[in-house]
Amino acid sequence: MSNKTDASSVADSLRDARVALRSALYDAALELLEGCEDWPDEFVEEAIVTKADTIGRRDAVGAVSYLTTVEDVPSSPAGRFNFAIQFGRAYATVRAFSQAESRYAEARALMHALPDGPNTMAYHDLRMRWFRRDCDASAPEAALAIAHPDPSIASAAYAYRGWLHAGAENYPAHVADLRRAVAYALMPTPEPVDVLTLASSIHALSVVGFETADGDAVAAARAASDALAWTPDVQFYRFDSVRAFGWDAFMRGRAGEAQWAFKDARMLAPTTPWRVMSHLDRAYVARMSGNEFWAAEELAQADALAYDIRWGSTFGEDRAVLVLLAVLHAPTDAPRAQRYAAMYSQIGTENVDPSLALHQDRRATAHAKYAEGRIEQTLGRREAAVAALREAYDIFEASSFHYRASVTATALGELTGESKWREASIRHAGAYPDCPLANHAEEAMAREDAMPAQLSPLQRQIARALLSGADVAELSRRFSRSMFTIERQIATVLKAFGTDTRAAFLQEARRRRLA
Amino acid sequence: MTLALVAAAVIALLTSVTAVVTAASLRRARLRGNAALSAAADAAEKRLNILETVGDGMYIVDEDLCITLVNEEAERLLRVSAGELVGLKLQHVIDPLASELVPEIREARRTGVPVERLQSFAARETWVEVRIHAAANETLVSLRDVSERTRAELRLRENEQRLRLVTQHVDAVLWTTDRDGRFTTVSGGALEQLGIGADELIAQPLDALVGGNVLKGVFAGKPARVESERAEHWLRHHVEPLSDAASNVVGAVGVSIDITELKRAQDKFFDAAHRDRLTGLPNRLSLEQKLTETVAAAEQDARCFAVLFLDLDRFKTINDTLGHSTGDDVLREVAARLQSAVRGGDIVVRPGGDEFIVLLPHIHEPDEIQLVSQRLLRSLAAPVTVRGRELHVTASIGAAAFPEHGGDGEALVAHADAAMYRAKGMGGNRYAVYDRSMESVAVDRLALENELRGALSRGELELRYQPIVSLTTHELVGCEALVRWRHPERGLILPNLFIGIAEETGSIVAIDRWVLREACETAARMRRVVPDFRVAINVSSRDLREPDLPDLVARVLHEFGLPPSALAIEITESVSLDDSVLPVLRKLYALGVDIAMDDFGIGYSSLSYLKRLPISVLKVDRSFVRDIATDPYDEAIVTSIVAIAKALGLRVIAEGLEDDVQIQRVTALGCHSGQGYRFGKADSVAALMQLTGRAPGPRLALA
Repeated sequence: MSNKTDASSVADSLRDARVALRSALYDAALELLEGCEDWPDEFVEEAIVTKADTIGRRDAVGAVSYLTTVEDVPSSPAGRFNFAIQFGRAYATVRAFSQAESRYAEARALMHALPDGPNTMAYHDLRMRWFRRDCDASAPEAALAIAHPDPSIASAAYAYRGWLHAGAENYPAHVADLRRAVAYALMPTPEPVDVLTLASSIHALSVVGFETADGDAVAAARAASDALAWTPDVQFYRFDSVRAFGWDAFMRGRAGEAQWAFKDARMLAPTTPWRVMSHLDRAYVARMSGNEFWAAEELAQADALAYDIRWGSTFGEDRAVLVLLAVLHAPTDAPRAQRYAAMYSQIGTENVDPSLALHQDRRATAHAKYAEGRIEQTLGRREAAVAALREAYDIFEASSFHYRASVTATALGELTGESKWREASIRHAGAYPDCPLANHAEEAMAREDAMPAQLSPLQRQIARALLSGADVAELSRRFSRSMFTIERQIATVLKAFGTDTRAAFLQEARRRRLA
Repeated sequence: MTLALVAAAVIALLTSVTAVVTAASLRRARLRGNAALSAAADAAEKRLNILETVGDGMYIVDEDLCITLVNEEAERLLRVSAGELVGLKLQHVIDPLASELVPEIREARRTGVPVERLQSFAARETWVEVRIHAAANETLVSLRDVSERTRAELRLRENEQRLRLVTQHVDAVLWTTDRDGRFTTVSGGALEQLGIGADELIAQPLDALVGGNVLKGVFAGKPARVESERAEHWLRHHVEPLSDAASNVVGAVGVSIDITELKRAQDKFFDAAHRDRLTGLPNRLSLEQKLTETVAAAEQDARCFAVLFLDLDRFKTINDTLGHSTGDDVLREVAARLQSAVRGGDIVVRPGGDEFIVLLPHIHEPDEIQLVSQRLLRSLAAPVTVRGRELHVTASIGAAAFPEHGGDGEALVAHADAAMYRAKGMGGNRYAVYDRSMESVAVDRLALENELRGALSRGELELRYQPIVSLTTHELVGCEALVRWRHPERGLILPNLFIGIAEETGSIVAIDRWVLREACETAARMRRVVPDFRVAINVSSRDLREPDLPDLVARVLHEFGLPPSALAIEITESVSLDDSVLPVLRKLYALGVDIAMDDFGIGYSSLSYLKRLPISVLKVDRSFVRDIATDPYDEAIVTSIVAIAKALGLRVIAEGLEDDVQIQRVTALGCHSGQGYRFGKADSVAALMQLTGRAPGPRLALA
């Protein structure tokens, strides 16, 4: 204990704690700062602010309660400024804006006590602007914040300005700022990189880069990711970035690489729902690569793991899992897909905290609508499904989220049978060079054209299933229709092909290059 | 490891081939069979032939991970058709057995260590063993479909699990022995409850668990089923021969089930058959057994023993009036009391009904029978409380001793029964020891039963009238009609000897109705002399449940021109307990007939019925009158009866008046009228007439 009060060792502890904080080693930082409230005056102000910052990285409410207990410790203007900034930041994170504002007002009065005080103040103003959805990227504090001498804060400022651009639907500027954010954070500085800031920027860049088919952005994110010393405290960002890299690889025709990425991601998955997600990613890619055998295995493993999920999280990842389970099971095991869809409807989305989502702009709505549409589709409520998916599609298209737009358009094509959706799907998939989805969609389109025009979507699905060798019992199960209905539909299909026996139908289908 | 050997051979061959095999040439080579295109193709063909001789799937990739060779089994496992794979980059063959292996192939190349693992497709019940052998510039991937084996293993594991579950949790011990009958394995959930340690039994001979020599038969091929007892547990063992694959018997396999509970249940069942369900006492079945045993033992040891036959007095009334469930409660209580009254070795048996038999297997002194009988009677002296009612239960006991009164169980019971009838005939609540003269009584009863049926039609019944005199005027005011049976051979038989029989046989109804007519006729005759004359008759409770009785009474009264007040109906207290007589009594009362409560003050003493019943007269029982002059208790009782009657507006008749002192006392206490020898015994109408002929008479005037 005595060495804690010894000035030089305290200085060491404080320096080490700051390094630990920026390296996202929060347990280590808190250990070093234990009892810091009793440290000598010259260190205590910085120590408590560092401690509050560390606590706040995981738990903003915890930070607020800690700051309340040490309210009377800081006395110097610089100390009070940093204290007020930290208080405001914690309040802002938990969306207690009026409290945050009053703390920030206190800080604003003191900001000239520090050389970079105005820059720091500007950064927090920028952050508040984003939290309040005041999406003016040309606001004066943005420039001041970006000019912060600490590259980590400058990087975070770029990231926030990027989100402001996104809020204003200026997506190219969004990606550009995210790239700057990542590049800035990697700039050499006397202090170590702030791992949390960089991790979140890499994550955002990888996801947005993939969605917008910006290969350079993904490459930049991957390079930064490879260079970063990830810690367990930022595991989720790493996991989801690796997934984005996997998806990017898949969309660029490197399915094998995608599967390895998803396998890696599974090792990084922080919780069971994410682990299930990795299996589902692999199932999806396996299926799109024509390997239904593999897809079935991954789906089975996902099913087994999903059994352990405690549904109803605030982040909503479990709902995302349910949507994927429903969508992936639908073609092969309709009753199971419907059970998952029903579970999704049962859990609802009330518990989901939108402030935790990556996208806090219209794209968040698009994601929600997409999920809703796929669930409605699985449950056989066609009109509701089409309405939700159309809404999602419009936003995805406007924000150049090509992957989502393509997938949504494919679903809409399945639901409506309209060729414009298939064309839209191919167009968006085409944003990625060598995209297998484009081929997939093109082939599908060619096959659709070979189908007799009068067939309904269900009859088309039945025709395709017949060609893949399904029997009546399997079709009945797959489409949740009675055997009698299936028999009747098959008769209609055969007639539409101008045939009256199963054998003649197969021959005719082969002639039309359907099989 | 043939696979490793083949792999080594293939690798050796790989390294020896210097020519570069292009995908195109190879495909051509494969498609066109043996057409000699080039030396390289030849070499490739050779290698392929080797690969095809191996059962496993195999493919080879070059430095750039291009697939150069694939055998048919590998194509089957990758589910692609012939030739599709050759020339493709491995990472583009999206499959766990191809693209997925790329990182591992790189790893194997870097380290030079072969990689082995199992790829599972559990959803489709397929398992593939993957081996990667990296050579200088080519890599061999061998795939072995182990689905069959793995499925079998899984089933085996499943079965083992199931078996383990069964052996651990079944209430049994499962075991095997070797040819010498020594335990080799022991398991099962019953081990603990049997207190057997599995380890203790191993290598022990079979006798340690299974008694008897069963192995000889079992080894001869005959399964055995034996039972044995071990440390308070009954075990049932099923033993079968244990054979090896060649059907040689190598030992025995068995399961031992704990059947202790079953045994207990069987004992219980046996017990149930030998026990009376109501009282839990031994029943007739076990009585016979016990008697036989006791007789045999007594004969052997030249010993005495006794049989007591106990029958509850008036129990039929309880059953009839209070219902069978009350009767059952009484029987249970009586059984318990008897059980606690007997001595250690004595056995109380309930053969049926309200009879009990007490077997005294050891009699040393002749007066032991008396002592036990007295104790039994005393045990019943305290009232039995059943469903809130206090009932007085008494019994009559007959005793017969071996060998004095009978040489076998049957005779002893019959003689004890006869003695019991004697005790009952003497008024009950007493015991009698058999003597030869009693045989006729027992026979009598049966004869009486038969003869009574014809007595009425043969005109053998007659009425006698006991006068009832006003205590204030000393004048005759009425009489009580009492039925007599003038038996042609036996002479006059008193009602207490045959009314019970009549009630049991049902002839009582006819008798009662005959009495009614006779008595009314007498009343009509008497009324010519004594205008307010009233005749009292006894009516059984059975008759009082007949709803047409009031009509009949009214008709008979009308027939003889009598007012209802000329008739009194006497009921006993036991009748009053039976609510089913109420409607008839109320109608009779409404008719104007007097209802008199006979023998008031004894028996089922509850005053509450005085409130419920329509009663106009109380008859004080003779037992209170007899010593009224000397016993202050009797006087007090009569005083209170009179007080109650006064309060309720009833008249009081004192019974059993035998002398003037008694007359004086009851008169002083306030009784209205009286009957008894002092006024005249029951006699004919003529005698009654005489009584009116003389005025009250000098004897009466004495008072």
